[in-house]
Amino acid sequence: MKVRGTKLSHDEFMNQVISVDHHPEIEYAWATGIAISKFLEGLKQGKIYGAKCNDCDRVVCPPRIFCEECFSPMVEYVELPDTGVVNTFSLAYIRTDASRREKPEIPAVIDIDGTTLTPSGFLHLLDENIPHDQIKVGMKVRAVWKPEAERTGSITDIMYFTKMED
Amino acid sequence: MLPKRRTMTDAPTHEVRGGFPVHFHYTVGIVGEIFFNGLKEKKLLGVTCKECSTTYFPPRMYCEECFTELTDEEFKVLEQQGTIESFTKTYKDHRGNPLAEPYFLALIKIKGSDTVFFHRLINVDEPKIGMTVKPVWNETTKASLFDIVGFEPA
Repeated sequence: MKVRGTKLSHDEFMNQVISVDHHPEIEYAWATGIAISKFLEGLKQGKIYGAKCNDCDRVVCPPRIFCEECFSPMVEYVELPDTGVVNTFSLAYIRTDASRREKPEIPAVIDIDGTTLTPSGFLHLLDENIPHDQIKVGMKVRAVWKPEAERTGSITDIMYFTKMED
Repeated sequence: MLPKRRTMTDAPTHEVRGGFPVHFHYTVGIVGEIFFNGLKEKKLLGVTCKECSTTYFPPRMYCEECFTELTDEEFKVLEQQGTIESFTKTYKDHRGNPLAEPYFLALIKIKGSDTVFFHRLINVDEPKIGMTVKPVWNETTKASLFDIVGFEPA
């Protein structure tokens, strides 16, 4: 198909024809809400918080403000251990900008110990130095924390989860 | 900077802040090139459609009335005069911050054209719709809309 238009070289496009160059400042800020704020506050202190439903006795992590099974408000926060089980994982050889990594990152969903009925947890990273053939669904892991002074109340206050020795 | 957050509860709340890196670079196009080079020479270039006689300022590639292509038309130099079709006084910049000196923005119909053009009004305290205005040019021009400082009463 013949397309109408004027082909420009990179130099023509950037420097020779009249053009507009614009870097808009696009910012966002969103509140993490009551329950996730409690969770992040906990991370800063090196603790993993969950929420307990007083009607159906579920303990979930991260905490939320109502139980999605029975719709009761979840008002009780419980401190959970910083250990868990690999629910699922992936070896990621590309970064978010699609550039290639030689050594893969290992994103994994970790079910936190102490959550009940249906195990729950969150997406995080596994220790990149675990031999790949040892990584299994069901593997027991433990959080590796940033030094306390460097924690900011962010999910990255946990650097990664590493394999627990049997 | 975004305004500081307001909290609805006494509970410690966290917030996530971020941004999107976006970079635009776009050309003004065939007719835009003619128009902006006109500004560089302190000329107001318009174009008249030979099918329906509509005159455009700034010029267009296509006639909006009858879709005739206008790129082969003669671009003509319009008079440095126009009338205020509409105006507003603005107190805030485009991010919502208060301006130290509020200014007027106006839609101006350049004499001989059938369309309006958006620019600033200067040297005027009480603009009126229908007021005759003329462009004030920067000493040095660089093919930009800001080659015109603004329009002042003629």
